[in-house]
Parts: sequence; C-alpha cells; structure tokens
Amino acid sequence: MATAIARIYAARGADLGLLGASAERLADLAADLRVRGAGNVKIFAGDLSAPISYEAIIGEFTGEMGGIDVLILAYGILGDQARAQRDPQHAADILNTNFTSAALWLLAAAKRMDGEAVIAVFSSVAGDRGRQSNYVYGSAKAGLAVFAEGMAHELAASGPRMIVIKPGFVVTPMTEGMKRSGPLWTDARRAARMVVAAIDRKRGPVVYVPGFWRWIMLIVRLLPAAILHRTKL
Amino acid sequence: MPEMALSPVRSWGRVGAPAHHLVTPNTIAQARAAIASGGAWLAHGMGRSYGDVALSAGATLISTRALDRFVAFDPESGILEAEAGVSLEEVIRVALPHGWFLPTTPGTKYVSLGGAVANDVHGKNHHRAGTFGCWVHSLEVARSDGSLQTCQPAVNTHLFRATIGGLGMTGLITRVTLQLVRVPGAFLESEDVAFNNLDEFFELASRSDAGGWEHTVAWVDCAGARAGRGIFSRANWSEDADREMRLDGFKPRVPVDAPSFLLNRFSVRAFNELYFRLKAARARLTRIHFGACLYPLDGILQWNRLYGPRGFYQYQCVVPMPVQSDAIAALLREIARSGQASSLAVIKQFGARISPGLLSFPMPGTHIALDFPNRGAATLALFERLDAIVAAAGGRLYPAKDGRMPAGLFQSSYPRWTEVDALKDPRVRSDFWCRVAG
Repeated sequence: MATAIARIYAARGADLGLLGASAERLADLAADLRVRGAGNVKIFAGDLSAPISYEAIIGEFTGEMGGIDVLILAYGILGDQARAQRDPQHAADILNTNFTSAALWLLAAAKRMDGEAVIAVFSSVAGDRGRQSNYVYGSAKAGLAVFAEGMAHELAASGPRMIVIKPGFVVTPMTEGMKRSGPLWTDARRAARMVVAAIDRKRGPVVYVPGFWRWIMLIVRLLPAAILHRTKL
Repeated sequence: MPEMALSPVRSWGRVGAPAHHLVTPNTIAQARAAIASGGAWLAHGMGRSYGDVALSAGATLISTRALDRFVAFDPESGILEAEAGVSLEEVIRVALPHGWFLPTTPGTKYVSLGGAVANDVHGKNHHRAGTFGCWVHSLEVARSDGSLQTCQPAVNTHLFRATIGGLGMTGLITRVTLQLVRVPGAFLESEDVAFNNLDEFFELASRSDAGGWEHTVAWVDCAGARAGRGIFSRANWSEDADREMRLDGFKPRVPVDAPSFLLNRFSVRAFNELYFRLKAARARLTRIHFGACLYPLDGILQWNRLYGPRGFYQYQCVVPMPVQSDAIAALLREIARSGQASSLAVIKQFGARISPGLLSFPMPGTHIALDFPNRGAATLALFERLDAIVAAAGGRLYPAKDGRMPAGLFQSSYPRWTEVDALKDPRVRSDFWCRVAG
C-alpha cells in the first residue's frame, strides 16, 4: 500500500524519500515514481526493524530531503499465527517489527517534524479486538495504535498531526494467499486514495480504510465473549 | 509469496471458470523464481481476453498484476519502458500530460502491456498504424530454464517475432519498450455516417482511408430485416491542446449477472433500431474526448455480466481483401438466418501494414466481430457454419477472442504456428494452445 500512496504523491510532483529493506526494489520503485512525475527521489535501504539508530537515519533523511512534510509509516509483517504460538522467536519477530520498531521510528521522527507536518502510521483492524486467528499480529498493531494515539495527544498543541490508519481487507502482498473477493475487500489503489485524502484533510486521530470498517469493528468489539468464543473469527 | 490453493478464474467471456493455482509475484525476480520452480504455468494479465488464451486449467497462472512499475520514459523521444503488468490506462496517465499517446489501442484501456504484446492487439487506426507489435522496440522474456532474454526487431529476432502475438507461449514477458506517438491533446473530432448496405460500407472505408482519417470503425445491423445497414464512425485527433484526462471519475458497475433472457432477438432489434436512429440523426463533426471515442465500453465496469450467468462468445474473423465483400455478406446472411441475436457487430477494414508477429491476426482485408450470448450447442453449431465461410475465404479467427476454434482451422490459417511452437517454453501451457496445437 505504501507503493500506491507514493504514486499519488509522485503524480503531484512531490520529492520523495523511500525507506525499505531492499536497495534493488527501492531503486525499481524510484524509477517508477520518477516516470510518474516525482521530483527528487532518494533511497535509504536497510532493515527497518533491526536495532539501528533511528535518530541518526531520520537525521540524515531530514537533512537530505530538507525536512519532512508527510511521513508514512506503512511496513509490517503478518506472520503466521499458528507458528508464533509454537515458536517464541517468530512471535518476538512479529511483535518487534510491528510494534517496537515502528514505535521507535515515531519517537525519532516526531521530534524533527513541525506543526504543519503529518505522520500517518499504519495500525490494523486486527488490533481492535483480540481474536484467536491473529492475536500476535493484532496485539502488536493494537499497541502501535495506542502508542500513536498517545503521541497524537502529546503533539496536539504544537507538534505534527498524527493519524492512525486502520485498514480493513486490502489486496496487497501481505494478504496474498487469502480468498480476496467480496464486498469487504478494497484494492490497494483505492485504499491509498483514502489514506491520502485523510492526510490532506488532517483527519484522525484514527481513520478506518474504508470508513465502514469503523462500524464493523464496533460490532466486533461489542460482541460478548460468550458469543465471540463460539466463532472462528 | 505463498502459492494459492486452486481457485476458479474466468476470462472476459465468462463461459467457464476452470481452477488454477494463482500466483502474483511482486518483482521480476520473484516471477522468475515462480516459473522455474516446477509445473506447467501460463502468464495472465488483466483477464480481458475473451476465451481461453489466458487460461490453463489446473496449472499455475502467473499474474502480472503486481509487475506494474515504469522503468523509464523520455518525453523527448516518446520511448517508454515498463514492466509487463502496467496497464494501457497507466501509460496514458503518464504520457498524455507530455503530449504522447499509445500508437494504437484496443477498445479497452484495462489491458496490460504484456497482454497487448502477446495478443498483438489492434485498434481503430490499424489501417494507418498497424498492430501494437509494430511499435515495440524491445521485449524482455523470462523462461523456465532460468534465462532472461532481451529481443528486438534486429536482435534475437526470431524470439521477438514469436513473442509478438505469441499468446504467452515463448515465456513470461517481463518488460516492454514501446514507441508512443505525439498527440495535440485529449480530444478527437469525430463524425458518424449512416450506410444502407455493405457496398456503401466498403465505399466509405476506402474513401475514409484515402481521406486520411486516423480512426475508423463501423457498427453493422445483423439482426433485423435491414441487415447490412450501419453507422460508420471516423475520427481524427483534434488540434485542441486540452489534455484533460478524465480517468478517475465515477463509473457505474454491473453488479450481478443479468438474467439470460435480457438479450433476445426482440430486445436486440429494438436496441439496434434505436442506436441507428440516434446516430443517423446527428451525423456531423463533433469534438469528443478520447475516453468516449476510443474506450466507450470502459464507461461501464464489468459490462460482460450483461450476458448473464452462462457468459458469451465473441466471434471475430478477418477475410482477405479480394473476397471481402462476398465473404462478409455471406457471414451476415448466415447470422441473420440463425436468428441468434448478436447485440454488437463491429466491422472494420484493416490496412496493409504487416506486423512482425508470426501469429498476428490482422491481414489486409476486413474483419467483423460479433457477440453471442452462450446458448450452448446452438451457438457452437452456428460458429461451425461461420468457420466454413471464413476458411473458404482464406480468412482466420482472432485467438484473443476465441474459446472454441478447431485445430484444423487454426493450423491452416496460421501456417507459421509451427515456428512459434518450436520456440515454445516447454513448461508453458494454455488451454487454447492445447486445443489448437495439440
């Protein structure tokens, strides 16, 4: 979904900085974004979830790009719930990547962005209620949402605008392998347009993508445990 | 990139839904790993071919949907390089603001570059521009042996010619380099001219060609007592420099399958009568956006569902110039006699420009394309009678639209198929190729 969002900004002629794991893939994406109209495109390759110096990278990034107007934090791993229940290392990887590293990026970035800037951080509807099918991933995304909400509170007066994005079912590489058809599914381009619209209008602090997921998750949260526990959700 | 369980895949005609393993690689490296990893496979783009050229029951379909990155675009020369999954719509989005457009385009922009090359698609300007393959500078093809081959008109020529119109048989097209053409803006000047019979059509076609009209196509009535009448549409790019895209507006969608009885001989006749009268009533030069002129059916998403749950066939054939008027008349007579309503019949005269593709469909002559709701055996029996007329005329059918052409007709009308077969990737398999080349 980050790719689809970057393409929207590219078409507007924005300068873009790309952080990601694979230098080769970032280079291919940078070429694509330039063709689509982006101005200056810079690449910073590295493992975003490794215990690295977030401050230093954000500092270098800010210096090269001349400040950050919009930061999109949209990485994560879905992992394998069943494997995570057996394999503590896998569980730790899911928690570290989706929560710990993302939270540290937020802390590092917020300091260097001004009151006009926007940070959009990707949580998930999976974080709205613990369910047997994906609670390792879900709890990490729930933690991240609370962390970002807290920062939104802290920054409300003078800091950058913090928006927590909670996507529902979106057709992206993360959901490859699922049965992806039906009214609950949204394609990545459409979801990206909704995210950018939320950023443009400084919505938030919590934005569901698409919006109807707010009501679906309200119902899921309100389900009595006695009923939830009889489902396979 | 896990491999999916078997899931049903339909082509545009929606006649069948064979099960496939569907894989959507995110990078060319992942795609190469996927095709090198085992069984039979076939490339699959946006699913706009009508029959079975992009289906392969039980095999792995390699979707190019996520191979959608541009590589380079030079706004000076109009040369564009992109991954094969980039759609024609995305090309327009990038090119038009710089005053460039596709050199030729089929009637939908929801087609991938890879699919446009593999089917060597043509458009309303075939008589001037030739096919899509005429404008390809370079192709990159990944094969099951792990190789990644670049081919061009003068480099690796045989693979180049076998891949253009090659229906995916030579491997997975991963990158395409294409020459675009200059346009002043996003608008065309278009006019509709009514004709009363086929002789008038051929007369109009020749005069429009000689008169320098860039886009020409005609609609012909083949359902009523006045079969053979029609509307001839022709258009040129307007000098108007307005480059308004109109790509992101709301488009209605056909949400469910229409009931099968919706299209019958009476409703089709009524529609044809209305269409004829409306068009004939405003025969004058009109400024029209490229979306309405070149892609009228893209305005309604999933229009193929109008044909109901059993789907539909399109019969598209070309007959050579010397016999075209007799052969087209014979085809129209046979369709009228069958009473099987054809709701949309499109007729156009192809030009003489020859594609590099060994299996390219167009030839100098006239093609006609007709939609038929799938009524099972009766529909297929009609097609056999039409086949006989096409074969006797020395014509051929368009594989991109076909789901039932017999092997004999394919092999006699595409004599160079053996050269493509010789370069076929040994693990590529399609339902179409199994049927016609098996």
